[in-house]
Amino acid sequence: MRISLVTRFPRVDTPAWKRKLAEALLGDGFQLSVVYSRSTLVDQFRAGLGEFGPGLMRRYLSLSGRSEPPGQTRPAPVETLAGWAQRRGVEVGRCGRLDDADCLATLRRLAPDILVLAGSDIVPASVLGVPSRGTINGHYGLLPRYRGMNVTEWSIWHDDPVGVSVHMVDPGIDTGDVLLTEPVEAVVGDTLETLRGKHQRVCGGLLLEAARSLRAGTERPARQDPAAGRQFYRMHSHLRDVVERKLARGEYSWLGDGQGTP
Amino acid sequence: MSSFVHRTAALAALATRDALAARSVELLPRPSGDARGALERAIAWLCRTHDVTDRRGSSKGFSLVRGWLPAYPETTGYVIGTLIAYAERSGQEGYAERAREMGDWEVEVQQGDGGVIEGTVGPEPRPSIVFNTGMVLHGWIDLIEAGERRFEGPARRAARFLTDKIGGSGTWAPAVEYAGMPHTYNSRVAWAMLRWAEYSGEADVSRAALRHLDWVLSMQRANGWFESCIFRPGTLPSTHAIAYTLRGLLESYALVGGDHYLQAVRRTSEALVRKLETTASLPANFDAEWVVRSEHACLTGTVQLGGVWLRLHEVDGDARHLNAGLKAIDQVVARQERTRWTDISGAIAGSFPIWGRYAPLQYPNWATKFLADALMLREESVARLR
Repeated sequence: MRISLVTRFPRVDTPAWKRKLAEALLGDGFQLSVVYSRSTLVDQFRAGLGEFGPGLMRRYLSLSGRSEPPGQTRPAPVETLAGWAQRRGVEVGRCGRLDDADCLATLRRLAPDILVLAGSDIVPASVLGVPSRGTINGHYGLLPRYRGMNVTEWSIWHDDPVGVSVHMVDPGIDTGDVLLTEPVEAVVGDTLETLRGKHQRVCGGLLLEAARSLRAGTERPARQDPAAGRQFYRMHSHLRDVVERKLARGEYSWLGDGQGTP
Repeated sequence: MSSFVHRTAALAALATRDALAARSVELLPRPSGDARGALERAIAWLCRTHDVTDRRGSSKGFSLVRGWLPAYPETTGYVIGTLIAYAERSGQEGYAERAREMGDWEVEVQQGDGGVIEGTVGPEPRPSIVFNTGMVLHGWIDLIEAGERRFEGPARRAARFLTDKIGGSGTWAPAVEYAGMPHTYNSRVAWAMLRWAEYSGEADVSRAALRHLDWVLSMQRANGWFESCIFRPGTLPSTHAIAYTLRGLLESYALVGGDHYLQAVRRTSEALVRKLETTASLPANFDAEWVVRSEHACLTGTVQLGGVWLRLHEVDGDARHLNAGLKAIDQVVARQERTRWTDISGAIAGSFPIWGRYAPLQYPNWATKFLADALMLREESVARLR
């Protein structure tokens, strides 16, 4: 079964979890390809700024192993998903926007059975029509309640549990049928950054599990009730500060003890 | 006063700046929300609009083509409330004194029928207009609430004008409407009437206001879009008119209750917040399907919406509205003029880019008034977060 992993902006990406997912999919017998959108430098700069703000350059230097002052031991550069894929002989497609004609042509040529979205842009309906078995997405929030962006932050703001959902993708924003959900345990000392890492690890595992179930035909999609949730948008820095403080002060009700008991 | 040469040079420089900014707006990170000093600069510029008229009303604004414009009764009316709020906040009596002077000037120019004229004061007689009367009524009520009871008489006459002229359908006669048509943004007038009715106990004023609000709700479609939310026939709703409409409904809800008013505000906000989040600079105009129909932003409308959403959050507690309000205000704070040229320093242009169709090449006094209002609300909201 063919899978195309769709993602974006490789140079400042958070590649480790995507690389592990790709390795796992490959190891599980899927025929894998990787498709990047926003592959131009300008697009990557914009996307990086949006994602990491002023810390963009620091992030880039750190991933490229150039963050240490001269004379000190520099860490090994982090291998991007694209670099890993090329080394492993996995085909990599690069395009500007997902709705560009060349992107659609690339995907059609790759003819995936499943598209797996791993930190991808919003996928247009034309792309959703390409895979024969459908498109799945890993969402850092518990559906159906939290749709949209920064939903880990919004969940903590509302004092709700955090977690990951994998769902079929339809033309709406995180409105497709839910395949799997898994809570993520937040513990004392967690920050939004550390929680992000936890979500990534859980997300990789759930996407692999969902792909396996689609291959086996054992998936159990659950329809979402639109009224059961709300759409959220990128959180303003003032609100984000409140969320960080809530975590730092141990005021988040779902903080666990690290043993899985909140 | 600025010279023609100075203004022309400034126009060229500002247009070049905005042309570059408009081309790069999608490339740059969203505004960070650094509003330090923005309120003080805005208030200083509003005071300048008062000084340039020899303290007889607030100038309509500064035009890069014509220089300072004459005093404008309508918007002077609501600048009063901004200055009173800032005087209380800063503890500086001078701002309250300016507000009183503006209130006195409004009494001087009040028409015989109790209304307030369309446009600026001039030698030719002009008709009284509902919206302008409502905005000045707000100013007089602000002064009365600040202890200036001498404004009760003019306020009562304005409220009577509004109450006596309204029809059974909840709209006013074309003769007293701007452009001869009903407008949903007169919900802001209804808000003023409800404030007066609450103060004076005049129940017929309240009944008339509620009749108008019912008409406003009848103009709303299921997707939140308002018919008749325009200034002139044949145009499309702008964020400015939409924000007026929403604020009137929201504050009316805060005064008299009525969940349908609140739901109407939330419905329209849902659509507009989505637009705010998916564009780097909120566009000015939309069609009935909320498709963007302009390339410029109406900065007044954007910052008004920011204020509406902060107030909506105070009322309904939905943090998504606080989030959107802060972002909308950030967008406009990023466009505040920060220059040593005092004619525009601290001011907000009508449009971004500055040649956009809303008040082109101008700094209308109401844009900066709504920025100051929003920044005061923002400070309170952020303080509560801490």
